[in-house]
Amino acid sequence: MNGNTSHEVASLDKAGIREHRRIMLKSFLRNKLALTGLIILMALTLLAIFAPSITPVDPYEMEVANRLQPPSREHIFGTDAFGRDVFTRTIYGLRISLTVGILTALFTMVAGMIIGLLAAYFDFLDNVLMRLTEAMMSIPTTLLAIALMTLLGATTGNVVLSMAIVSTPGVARLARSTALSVKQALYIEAVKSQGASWARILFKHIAPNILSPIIVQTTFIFATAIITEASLSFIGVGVPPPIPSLGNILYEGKAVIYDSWWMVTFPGIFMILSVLAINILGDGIRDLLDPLSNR
Amino acid sequence: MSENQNVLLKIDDLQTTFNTVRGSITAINGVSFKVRKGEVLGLVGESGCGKSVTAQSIMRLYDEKKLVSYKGSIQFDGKNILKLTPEEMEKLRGSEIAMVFQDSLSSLDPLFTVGDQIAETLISHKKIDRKQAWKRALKLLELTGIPAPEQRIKAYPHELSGGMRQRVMIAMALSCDPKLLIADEPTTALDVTIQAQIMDLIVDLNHSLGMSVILITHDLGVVATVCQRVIIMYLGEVVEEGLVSDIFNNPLHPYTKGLIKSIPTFATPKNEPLYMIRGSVPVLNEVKTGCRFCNRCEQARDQCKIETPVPVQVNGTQTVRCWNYKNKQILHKRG
Amino acid sequence: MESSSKNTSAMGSRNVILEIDSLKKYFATQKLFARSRKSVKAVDNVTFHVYENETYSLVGETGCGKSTLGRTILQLVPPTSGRIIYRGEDVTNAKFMMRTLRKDMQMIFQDPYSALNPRMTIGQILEEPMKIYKLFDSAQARRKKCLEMLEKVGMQANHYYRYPHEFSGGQRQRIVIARALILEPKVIVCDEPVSALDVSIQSQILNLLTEIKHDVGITYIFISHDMSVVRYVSDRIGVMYLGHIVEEAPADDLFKTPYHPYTQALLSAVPVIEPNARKERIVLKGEMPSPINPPSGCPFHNRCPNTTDICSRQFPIRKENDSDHYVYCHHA
Repeated sequence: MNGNTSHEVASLDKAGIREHRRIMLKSFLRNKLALTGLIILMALTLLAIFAPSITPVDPYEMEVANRLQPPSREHIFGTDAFGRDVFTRTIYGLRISLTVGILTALFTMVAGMIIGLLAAYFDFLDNVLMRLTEAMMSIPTTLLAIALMTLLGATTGNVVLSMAIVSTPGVARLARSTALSVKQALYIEAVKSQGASWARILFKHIAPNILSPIIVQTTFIFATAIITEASLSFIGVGVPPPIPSLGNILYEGKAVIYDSWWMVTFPGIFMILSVLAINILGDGIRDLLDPLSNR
Repeated sequence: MSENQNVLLKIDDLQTTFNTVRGSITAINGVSFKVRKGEVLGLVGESGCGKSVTAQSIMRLYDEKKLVSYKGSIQFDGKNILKLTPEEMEKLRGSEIAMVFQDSLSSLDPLFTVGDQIAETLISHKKIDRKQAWKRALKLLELTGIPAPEQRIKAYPHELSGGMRQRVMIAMALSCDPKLLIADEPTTALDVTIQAQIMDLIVDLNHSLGMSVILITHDLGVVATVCQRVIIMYLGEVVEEGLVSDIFNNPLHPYTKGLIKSIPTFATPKNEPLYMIRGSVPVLNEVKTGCRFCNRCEQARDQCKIETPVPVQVNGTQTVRCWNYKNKQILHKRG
Repeated sequence: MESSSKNTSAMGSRNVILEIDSLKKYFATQKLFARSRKSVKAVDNVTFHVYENETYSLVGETGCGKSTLGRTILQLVPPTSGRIIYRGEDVTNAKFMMRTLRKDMQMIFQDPYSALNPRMTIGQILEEPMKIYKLFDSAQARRKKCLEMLEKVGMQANHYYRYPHEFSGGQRQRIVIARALILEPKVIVCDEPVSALDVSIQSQILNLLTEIKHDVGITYIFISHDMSVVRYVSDRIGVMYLGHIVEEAPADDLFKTPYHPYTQALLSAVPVIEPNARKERIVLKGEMPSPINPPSGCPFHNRCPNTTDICSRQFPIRKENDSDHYVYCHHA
């Protein structure tokens, strides 16, 4: 019997884990583009979180006398049609857009994974679930979102819900196809031969092995959600006013775009920055997790 | 020396170094050997020994801009392969030196018929037209013993069995009458009866066409049946070289001895444990000075830890890289 | 069909631990709406028995069904028909017993690179079966058992926290063996356990398996295509072709006097090192037929050098040529 206490066992081997993590970090940091994306995203997130401290102005406060003022020292991004400070609304709008985006992404990831895993493991569910997802994917995204919003009513929560419902089929199919190949692996057979229940196999053994492509996909859904929300707002079924979101600020600015360029330009820039940063970050994560990249 | 006229390929002190994320790895470190015209040379070793790297270095298949750098020389038919331009190398590959790989399914393009792929080699090297190329492809398939070649030639790779695909690979390799065939584990993935057929085929072709063959394998049984001379590699170096009868009747290097002893044969007594070479193959970048095998060697001496042994010729046909053998003649100077 | 727990043949009174009776495993090909649904007859009416503490090997080439047979015995794939009798009890459809049975019958896999979950540490992999069966109450007790197992297979305690990708093929196979042993099984199906390993590691793993067998007393069902390895490890051997067992004999007998033409051809094709031991090679014509469309009568008849009219019409019955040496051939 060896005399190793568990303390010794633990310290003897942290070295191995640390080495592996170090190499992963090194290759991630080499990817300057991904790093840029991460930094921009973090900056935007901080801006969104600390919005109240950055701008003491209330985003809902209207000063009708000051409507449609160009950028000035008092209102650095100008004011909108109701005299509200565009800078403040942009920052708060960023907050809402980012929140909506990330909630959509998370919801999609969880729902998509569950559906995909079940479809991959149970043949009888596979047919049903896949036909359902195909049906949903054959409806144009925006139309489906509009229909759902009209049905469910206009709240921020429902915006998240409709976008999540729309994106889930894609993730579900990805999860299913990855899970199908993981299911064939010998280690799954091994744990089956040791009496594991289907739930254990699916969620403890298969799920962690399908995470990589799902995480990459989720990142891109995050970015897409921000744009989709904008599209929905453009049509009037996005986040309901007066709650600011990057999308509905653009919507309001659309009418006065030639005279009051600031209403569209600044939120637009923030939106472009967010989406770009997330996409670049997603590419970086994918390069990191992709087993085919040079080893 | 008149012996030199018989030599088709001469490798001198070849070093292949890879630049990877984890640093620079020298996969083969000073490999030297000759291949004579018309002989079947076995290149034996386990995973990580560098035998595939050697083969691919001869064909210069690695990406030279980013990944790999070579040192030493590879003399083939009067030219130094390492000094050829990419265009000259392209002319050489497939026509004078041909290669057959282990996994025939991934070595063949799934989108083209077998006939197209053989014809492609012919068209690009011999500058003949498609019709002629197909005729010749059919002849080659017949030569490799594929049953019903007129139908098989129109088949796609996935429609054929492993043994037949391997014959197709051999047909492709033979299409331009190469002087040298490098077969990298051609039968490892095949059943033993099919393996025997493919080995027969290679031996037949070696006799009838006078083509030299470098047969890379880890299966000593195959080597014993098919090859004339054998080279044993360990961790990027050649550790022993000799005739097949030498290696099996009188193995010199402790690694060779251990390898032969540890394989169960039809004569191995059943109630005793098999011989084991203790330890395991170290990772390449952990290799220190001295003999690379010494930490697993039963005959290790003090000298072995400090100095790397040089290859010495022990008798007329056998060479070994080991301090346990006297210097009859130091063959290769380490640069 | 008898379900004897003692077999009183020349083997003396050895216990039969496992009996396979007319086992079939057919896979349906996917064409749901085709006029005739063809099946892949992977295992076709296989009958044999295994004595306690012996090593029974199944040999054959690709497509003969040996791997499928191994999995069907463990009920990793449900049998199409036939019986599996373990220690005298018919366990073929014993769904509720399956969980307890699984402890007794484990598997060692061929490919050490995909047999271990890449996202779990060695410790987690080895403790998983203990958690499933709720063996040992405390995490400490589980860890202790885990470290014991690691030592038994020649690994070190500090490997507990590592991931599979940090190990070589031989080491991973040791972990696979440790995992199979954790539940203290009585029967282990070894599916080509050394085929994917380097030659010099093979002997280490084979020695380990032998050591374990003598230490703990396990019955092995050893599946392989490597005749030399099979000869070394086996007590008895079953030669398979196209889903059938065609010959079955004690190891030495099979190599000395193979009766079935396929066994003879197989043995003659093995490349041997000793030049004196080389036999005249028997070349079989054609290739192994597809298990979707097996030939009529004897499955080997269209490649057999001794085939006659009856061979294509009738499936051969089992004959006992020597003591405990059985062959399925009209002419052997």
